[in-house]
Amino acid sequence: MREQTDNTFKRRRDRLDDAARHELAVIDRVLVGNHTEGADDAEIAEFALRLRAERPTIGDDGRARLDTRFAERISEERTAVANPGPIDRLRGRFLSGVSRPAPLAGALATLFVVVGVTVALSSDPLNETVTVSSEGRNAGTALSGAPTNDSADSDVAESGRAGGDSQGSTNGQAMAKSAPATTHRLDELSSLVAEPNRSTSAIRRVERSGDLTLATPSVNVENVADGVIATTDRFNGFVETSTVSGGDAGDASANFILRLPSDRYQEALAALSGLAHVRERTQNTRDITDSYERAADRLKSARAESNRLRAKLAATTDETQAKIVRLRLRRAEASESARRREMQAMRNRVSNVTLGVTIVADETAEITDRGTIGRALDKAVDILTQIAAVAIVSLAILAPLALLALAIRFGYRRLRRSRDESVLDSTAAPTSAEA
Amino acid sequence: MDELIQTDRAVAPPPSTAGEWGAFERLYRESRDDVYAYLAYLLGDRTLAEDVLAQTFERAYRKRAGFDSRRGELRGWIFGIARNMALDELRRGKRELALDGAVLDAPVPAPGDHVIDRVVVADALLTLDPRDRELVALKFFAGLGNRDIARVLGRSETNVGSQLHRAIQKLREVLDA
Repeated sequence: MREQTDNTFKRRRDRLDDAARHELAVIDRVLVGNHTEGADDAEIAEFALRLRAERPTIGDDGRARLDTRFAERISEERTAVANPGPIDRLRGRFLSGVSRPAPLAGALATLFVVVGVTVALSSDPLNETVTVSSEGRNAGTALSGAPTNDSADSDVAESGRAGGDSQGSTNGQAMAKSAPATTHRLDELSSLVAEPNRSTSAIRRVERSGDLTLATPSVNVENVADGVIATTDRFNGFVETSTVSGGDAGDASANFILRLPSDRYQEALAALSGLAHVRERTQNTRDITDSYERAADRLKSARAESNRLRAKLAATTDETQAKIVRLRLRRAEASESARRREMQAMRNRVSNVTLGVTIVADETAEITDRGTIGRALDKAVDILTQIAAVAIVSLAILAPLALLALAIRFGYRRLRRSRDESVLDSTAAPTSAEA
Repeated sequence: MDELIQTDRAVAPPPSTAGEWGAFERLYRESRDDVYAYLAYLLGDRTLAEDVLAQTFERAYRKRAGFDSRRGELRGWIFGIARNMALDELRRGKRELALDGAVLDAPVPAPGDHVIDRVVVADALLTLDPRDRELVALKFFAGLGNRDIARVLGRSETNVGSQLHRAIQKLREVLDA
């Protein structure tokens, strides 16, 4: 309040009346050599000239000295400009034309914040639960969607459970130690997924599964169910099981177990999520690297055994011995075939994702599949919402920073002015005796 | 100088051509006496004023890219540099005498009414607050307009006008007394 009163008082003090403004104008005219009219103006003009006469002047000698110094110094500067140092060259190259670096730095900082916020917002985990587990921990849930009808698979699962407890120095151990269920970002997850074409032992083999619960009004359950099947086809997946029960009385529902290619899983999941209101979405991942490598080793051993027996058979001349070898070879080939199926099953577990989709009736849910224009509008609203979110968060960061910068600038100017004035005030006190 | 002032861009062009060098030299020749008058009065030492004046133009030349024509004229910018350098000198304590010594150092003219009047005016000036004396020096010795004074001192133009008017009123009262 006191400060406001002071400022008001200062503004009032700073206000010039017409007479004062006129006097200052007369002084300006006189100082540039113009004449004035009127007795009052003449008095002001005389005063201005008397003060002007006090002006310290430089003699001819002093002027000559100054001109010489100016010529020498500027000549040195010209030479320096003509032969710039390495720092000056760099500055000239990158900052030529940048007269005020502060606004440039401010703009860059703003850009940095906006990009940072955009990246941060776009990588949010979308309220999605992602569970990462390693073999042998929560195998029961993680394996629920995996095909187990292959006889070799039971061996793999068995060895996988054993392997899970003995993953000495692999990454799997770190994952197992972190927690049986650890929430990760999708980005981190995708880096865990094995690429089928790479075959080095350092690649982690990850089996993924997920559950998606969609809610839609009863009358729309069948439409959404059709959409699930169509979307699965579109992404080269297949429906492993499906159950659809119709009805308008709120008991309509549908259940699917889908197998989707890993490399298009996220795309497919996004498309499926767009069919209706997403009530729940969970993703589970399980590191099966050990099981995968053991299966590969077993297949390799079986092939080697078959090849060894084939070679032995070719080299045998004795008929009795040949019969024995043939018998052993048939068994070895059967074993190799089983190991090959086992290996194929492991590959399927890695290259396909099992997704359980449940459609539940919910009369309060909106029907989201509103045609192309409706989807486009939804997309546009989403994008605008994202932009608004980025703008709001950026503003929340930048506004306090800008205020802080302004406060610092204001404070610095006040400090500097006060320092300058204190220098003037501390000069020797004038006395009429000295004058 | 016109070439430097009339640039559309906020930045003075780098004097890479002979014409631009000439423009800077013209700026020096047109401002030299005014800057000297201000510095000599502010510092109270003619030799020091010469030093600071030479350094001022040297710095102005080096920092020419920082000149912003939207914030005032080139003359005001030069005076800003001169003031900062003079205050640095005073701050360093190289000279203790300031503001009130300049007139005393001036060459003594032949005795007469004119000399008496100068002493009276100098005496009247010394009754002012140091900040007001600087204002008077910038106005009457350096010949700056209120806008450029405001830029040099980092104040508003209105504040400069009212402060200057008060100082003038006080001086007139002293001189009329």
